[in-house]
Amino acid sequence: MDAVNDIPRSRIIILLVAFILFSMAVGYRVFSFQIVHGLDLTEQAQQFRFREDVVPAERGDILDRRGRKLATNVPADRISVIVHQLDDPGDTARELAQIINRDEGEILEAISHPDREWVVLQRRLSPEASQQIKSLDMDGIVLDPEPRRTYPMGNFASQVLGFVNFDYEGSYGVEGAYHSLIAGEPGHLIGERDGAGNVIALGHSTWDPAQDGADLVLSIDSSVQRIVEEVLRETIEDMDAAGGTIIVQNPNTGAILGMASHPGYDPNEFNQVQDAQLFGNPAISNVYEPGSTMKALVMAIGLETGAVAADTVHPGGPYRELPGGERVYNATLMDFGPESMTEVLVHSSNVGAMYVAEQLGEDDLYRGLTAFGFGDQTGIDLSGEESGLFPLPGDPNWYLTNLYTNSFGQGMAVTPLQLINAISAVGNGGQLLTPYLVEEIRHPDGKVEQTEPEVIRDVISPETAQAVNQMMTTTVDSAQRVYGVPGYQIAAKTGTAQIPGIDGGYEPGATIGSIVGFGPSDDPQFSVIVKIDRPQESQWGERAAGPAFQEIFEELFLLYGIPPSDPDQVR
Amino acid sequence: MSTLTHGQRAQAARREREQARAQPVAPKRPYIIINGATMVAIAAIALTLIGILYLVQTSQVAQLGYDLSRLQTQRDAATLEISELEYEIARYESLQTVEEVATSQLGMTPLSNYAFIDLRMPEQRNLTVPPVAESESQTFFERVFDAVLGVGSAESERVDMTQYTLGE
Repeated sequence: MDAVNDIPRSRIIILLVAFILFSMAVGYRVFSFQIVHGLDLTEQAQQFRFREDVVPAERGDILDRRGRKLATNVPADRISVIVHQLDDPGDTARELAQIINRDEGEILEAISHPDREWVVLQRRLSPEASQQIKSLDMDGIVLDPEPRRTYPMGNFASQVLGFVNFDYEGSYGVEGAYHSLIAGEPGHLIGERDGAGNVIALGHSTWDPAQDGADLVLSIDSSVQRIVEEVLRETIEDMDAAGGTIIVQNPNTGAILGMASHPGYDPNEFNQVQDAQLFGNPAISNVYEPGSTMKALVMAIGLETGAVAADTVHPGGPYRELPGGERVYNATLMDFGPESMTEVLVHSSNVGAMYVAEQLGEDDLYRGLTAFGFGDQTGIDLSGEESGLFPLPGDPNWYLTNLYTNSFGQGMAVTPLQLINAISAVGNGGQLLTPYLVEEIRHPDGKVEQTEPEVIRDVISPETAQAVNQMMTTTVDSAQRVYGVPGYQIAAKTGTAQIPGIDGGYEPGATIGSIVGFGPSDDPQFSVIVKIDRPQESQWGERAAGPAFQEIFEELFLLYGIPPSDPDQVR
Repeated sequence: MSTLTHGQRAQAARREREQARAQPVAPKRPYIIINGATMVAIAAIALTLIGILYLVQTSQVAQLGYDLSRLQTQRDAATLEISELEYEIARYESLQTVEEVATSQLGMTPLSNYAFIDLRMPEQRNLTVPPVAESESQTFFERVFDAVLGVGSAESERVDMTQYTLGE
């Protein structure tokens, strides 16, 4: 007691004051946490404890009709940096630059920024790069898996498939057209989490599961697509051409079996493509003057309306003088003399085609061409389809000359798909069908939707179709060595069209060589169009596109085991 | 000796029985004495047990939670691996890869000459169906003997082969 009494009173007071101040400080903090910021902190704690995560839906696969995967998903890592955890930003930048192929200075700048705590450096790393980064075992480096859309066959059918961008949204092609269907619906998980942010497995959670996307089965046959792409590549090399398009269609259903254009791109590396025009599909979006291939359809309209018959003979001559006094000549100024309608196609006579157009008149010709689908989209299940340039009487850019020039495929522009779809109508007996690429939709719940062939309209009668089929077959027979397939009968028509120039005329010496047809003639299974842009080795469709047409039919008959009608002729 | 009448003896006996009934019985000793301290002890023990049970249960739930998380992680890893394998399969199914393997590793060459051969399907004859042998039935003792020795037997449904037509 004496010792206590010996403590100076001032010291006790100081201690008391210190204690009171300390208590007040603690009390203030308690008051601040509980009362002043109580609601905010409670909300923050709740947000941390019950954080909502978006659960991504799995994007559906895209398969060909044989079940081969054309597009699928694989996990790929995304590399991020937690800036304050880095030991040495310079060293980190140097190490990562070599692995992810980015500039060291650029990385250093990104991870040294004072306002940034978290930096995403690269997405969709290759498995090798991920492995290398893991082996570095550096602090502050985070690898998160995220889905990556991949195309196992590389640049195969790229313009048909399209691609998926960095936001995992489908762009162009089937990926773009069917995005909402194959992307699915992301789910949400609101779960109770531990201190590290991991969901407590048996904690309170609200789970709204993701709805995965549907798988698509295309009508594309990868074997046919491979043939088409190979033949197109070889032809463009052989002809020293600027580009080209080939389509193979089933004329009886409208299904597209193969569709390729050159140049293409690799959808796995879409971000490396410099020219965005490559993403489009020229088969449905590029228009061109079809040239003499149109004569087969004009002839079909002539026969259907009765304007001409197969044995009708026109007077012939090297040219025809139009009402305005302008003369339009046959190619190479040939004079074929009097020609039957079959010979008009065999000779590819411009004068003969103009004769048919004149016999038809404006109403019947344009009613017929419109019925074949020109001037309108085919309705294929892809976005970005063009309807062509097809002025009709009464339009400001239609002149009487068009009546004549349209008969041999000039003064109008079509897409390759429009033309092959119209020719398929001749091949199948007269029905215009809606072309399609997606044959089957497999929903994740097991439901399967099959695409049924859709008839747009009956364009010509079966008898007319058969007559035109015969005329086109005769045309091929007369040029057997160039684009016919020995042992088989094929119906086709070639075309050589000039290319409109900027000044309103045509580019001198520049052509588009094409051929369109179907086979076997007696039971058409395939329609094929080959279009070669600006061939340098030969400007004529017969020479530029004919050999490719021939090779494709040979391969198709072999692939599908279609026997020849005349086995002795098979070489 | 005094002489008691029958009625007096009966009265005396009744009195004795009443006296005996009225005599107080010694209280039995209780097994558990419940007083305040006992109640507290019981409550403490109960609370302890409940607490232990709760801890055990919580521990088990937590353990199950960790197990579940681990299994989910394993499942996710397996799913990723499946995706990678499916991608590899798809890549190997690529016709370009198939062609490379066929030509460079297997020495195949592209088809250049081919011929379609017209084969006619030979007529199929009506084949006579062999008679089905009657299976021999075993006696009860034979079956017991086989069962003891472990001899098994297989039975198949006898199919009436005559219902199938072979050829046209």
